[in-house]
Amino acid sequence: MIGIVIVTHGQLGREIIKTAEFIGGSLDGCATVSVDSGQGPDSILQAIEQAIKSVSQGAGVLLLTDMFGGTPSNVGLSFLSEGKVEVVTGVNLPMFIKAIQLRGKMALAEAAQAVGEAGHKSITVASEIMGGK
Amino acid sequence: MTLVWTRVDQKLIHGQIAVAWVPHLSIDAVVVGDSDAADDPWVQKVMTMGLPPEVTETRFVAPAGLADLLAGGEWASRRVLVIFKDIDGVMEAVRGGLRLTRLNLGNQAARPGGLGGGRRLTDAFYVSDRDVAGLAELSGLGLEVQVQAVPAEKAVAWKP
Repeated sequence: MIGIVIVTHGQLGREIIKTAEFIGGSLDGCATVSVDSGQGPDSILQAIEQAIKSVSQGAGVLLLTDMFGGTPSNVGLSFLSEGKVEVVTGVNLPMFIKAIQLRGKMALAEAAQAVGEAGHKSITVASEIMGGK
Repeated sequence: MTLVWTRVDQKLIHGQIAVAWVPHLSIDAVVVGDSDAADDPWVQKVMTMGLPPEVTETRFVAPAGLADLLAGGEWASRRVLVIFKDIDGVMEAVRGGLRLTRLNLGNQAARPGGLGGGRRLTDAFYVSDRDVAGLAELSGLGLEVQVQAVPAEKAVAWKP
């Protein structure tokens, strides 16, 4: 099973997991790293490294970060490693739920691709799909 | 060239830069003065991609080379944000001929025994004795030093 680490500013990652557990029950093999102001890149690097180790079960680890260009993402991207760690940025609830659903069924690279697609598809502007009133 | 803002930020280009400072100051060029980043194409790629499209020029150079780089004519109509990883970098750039009037201290985490050291200026910026000596020297050159992580936060003036 693919391990999942969510790296975000503040407690966003923890809340995503809590929310997903509220919907689908308790989750194993998931960890979060919370990046707070006043925290240096080195300590963030260490925290991510530890989190990856804690969820790694041999099938690789999917790192989900909140915003491309932000520190969680900048530091997270340095862990990118073929077959071992994939990074998908812009995490939201539908992406995380998709990751949970696929983690036991797909190889890491495929799962990362599918989670990214789920993110794109999950965003809609209501008036565009409903055709306005 | 208008050197709009000069900042010390150990995270270099990140969310606060892309989302807050660039739009706040209408920046269209970002120059990172840091030797490690200047030698790391991966970091350069990631950080450049994280900036909004208004920023059409992004460079990474060793601090000592900043003055020469920015003296070039291609910067004439640019609104430039310069970011250093640490105060040592600012000192190197100033010794290399870069003229500054103002310095913004953005992010430097507390790191006992390390670069950051232990003295707290704000929650986001800690300084070592070496940093304080450097800031005092810069201040003696007429530089105005202030601590401010994001534009929405009140700036705190630093005095030797």
